Amino acid sequence: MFIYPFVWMLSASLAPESELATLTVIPSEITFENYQVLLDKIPIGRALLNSVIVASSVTLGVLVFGSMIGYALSRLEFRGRDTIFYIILFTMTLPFHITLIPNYILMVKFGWVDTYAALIIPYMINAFAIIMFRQYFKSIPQDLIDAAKIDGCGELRIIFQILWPNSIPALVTIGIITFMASWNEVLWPLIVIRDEQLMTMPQLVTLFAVGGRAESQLGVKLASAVLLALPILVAYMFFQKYFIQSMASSGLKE
Amino acid sequence: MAEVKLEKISKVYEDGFKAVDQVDFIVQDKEFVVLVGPSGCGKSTTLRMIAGLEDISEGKLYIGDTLVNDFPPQQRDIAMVFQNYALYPHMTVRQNMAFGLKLRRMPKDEINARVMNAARIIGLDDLMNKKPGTLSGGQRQRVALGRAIVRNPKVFLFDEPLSNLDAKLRVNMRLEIAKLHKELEATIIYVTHDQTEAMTMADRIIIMKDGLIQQIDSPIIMYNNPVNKFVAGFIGSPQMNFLDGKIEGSDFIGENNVLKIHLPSKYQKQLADYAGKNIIMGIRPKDIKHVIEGEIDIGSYVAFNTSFNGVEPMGNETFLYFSMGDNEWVARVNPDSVIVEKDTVYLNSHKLHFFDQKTEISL
Repeated sequence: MFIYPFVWMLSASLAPESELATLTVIPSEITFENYQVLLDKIPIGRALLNSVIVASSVTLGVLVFGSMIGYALSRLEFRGRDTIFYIILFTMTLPFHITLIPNYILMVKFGWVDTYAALIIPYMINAFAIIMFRQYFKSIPQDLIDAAKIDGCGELRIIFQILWPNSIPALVTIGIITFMASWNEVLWPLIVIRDEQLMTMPQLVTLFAVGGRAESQLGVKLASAVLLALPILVAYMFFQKYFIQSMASSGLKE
Repeated sequence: MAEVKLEKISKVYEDGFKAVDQVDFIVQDKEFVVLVGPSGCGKSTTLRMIAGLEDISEGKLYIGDTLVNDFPPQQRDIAMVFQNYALYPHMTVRQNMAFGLKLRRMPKDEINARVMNAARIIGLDDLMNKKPGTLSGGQRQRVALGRAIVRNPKVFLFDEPLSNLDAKLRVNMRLEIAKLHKELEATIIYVTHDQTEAMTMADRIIIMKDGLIQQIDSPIIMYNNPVNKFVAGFIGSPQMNFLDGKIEGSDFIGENNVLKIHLPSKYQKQLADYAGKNIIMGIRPKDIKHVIEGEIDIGSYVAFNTSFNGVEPMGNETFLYFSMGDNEWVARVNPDSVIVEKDTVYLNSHKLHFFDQKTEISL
């Protein structure tokens, strides 16, 4: 039941346009015509590459900075630590749309419109990741960190050589969630990117499917949807074990 | 190896709580010193300040001749063994032991030689490629010891290393750590709340309470001449029996006349100033007998008729519990004696301890 729409999407994208209306799952013949049309009309390959670059950079940034800030908030002693934590927590309650316009103005001032920087840099730090890392690091015994200090580790080495290898579930969870969110993001790229060569896949596909360039050809639209969903599906199947495990074990405590 | 000198070291937390108060002692080169006390007495905080894991609020800390107050842990040339082992779960035993050396950019051959040598000393040769998760508690603690040994540090710090092990293993490891101390000629500072560990391993014991040092002495001196009631009660197992009372003439009279002991002349002189004043008398369980036939100094025993609240045969000894006024007392007696419910115990009047009732200082 759950999987039926996916199966139909896949099979319909491979079917001739004339058979789509019947909603049959098994097409009479398999054709890649829809994909061919798609490839001819829009630079979907380039968009895929853009999406991979953007989502990977964002994910890496979130993991690196999130763990650094999470570590500082959970293990370092400094004045105002908890205040900073609550401010970060507070930013989670702000809807994206409130910051949308100020962020756009910033991008214009920085001259980042129509560059990768606009897609990547604003997303590299993320309150959710910081909080997840903070909570996860709190569950790691202080003695382990002390032992590392005595062995000669600085704070960065503690984070990346001691804590990271022992936080795989957290890293994978945050990684997947961030990657998916970044991959699926449409609104922000629509605002800051106009150059087709820099567009991410969802942006391009949305413009293509909704924007009218598909010329109401349902098969082609479906083909673009398949290509859009495929990487995430593959990633999810690959990391499913970690994903479920860490969702179950590292939810927000306290 | 080197000596460690603490000069009036204090730890005051931001909320004003003074965890360690003007602690002052020197650990000699190659000495095994045990810091002991009940939980919250500041012993672990003291150790963590020596390690560099806690800031020192006041005072000076020297390792060797160097003032190390502002040195981070890795520059102090110390190694530490933790209560919960603190091994890196993602590394093998070998990697765990070599990690600190790698960070110090030691040549590979030297690292290998040291790791193998340490593995031999603590008998870990077979486990070198296993991860800590697959090892038992005792093996893990050995790896933690090995990690400290390979560093060949100036000072070894132990933070309750045996507390997570079961009783039998604890005895084994106790012996091994003592052996290791001899073999490595190491300076060791060892924190525990277990007075048995302190008594059996230490060259000297430092006993702490509420952030203050109570007494620094060798185990035997501390056992025989505790400076105050706290030390007397803490060192020795089962703990010393106490009774409030006063001196009247040449007698000690327990409160409510529960007990009267004619004091030997050595105590009479010692307590001359306390005539008529309230004091606390203490006697160790081993100095209370159930049978005194065959004792040489039979005249120094004082009989006390009682009924026993509990009898614990331990095999090599038997503990008898009985009431002395409001206090529960325990006697440690020969396991062969026949115990009946109502019976007489004998207190050795030459083995008493006396404390001021207000200050609890030994008299």
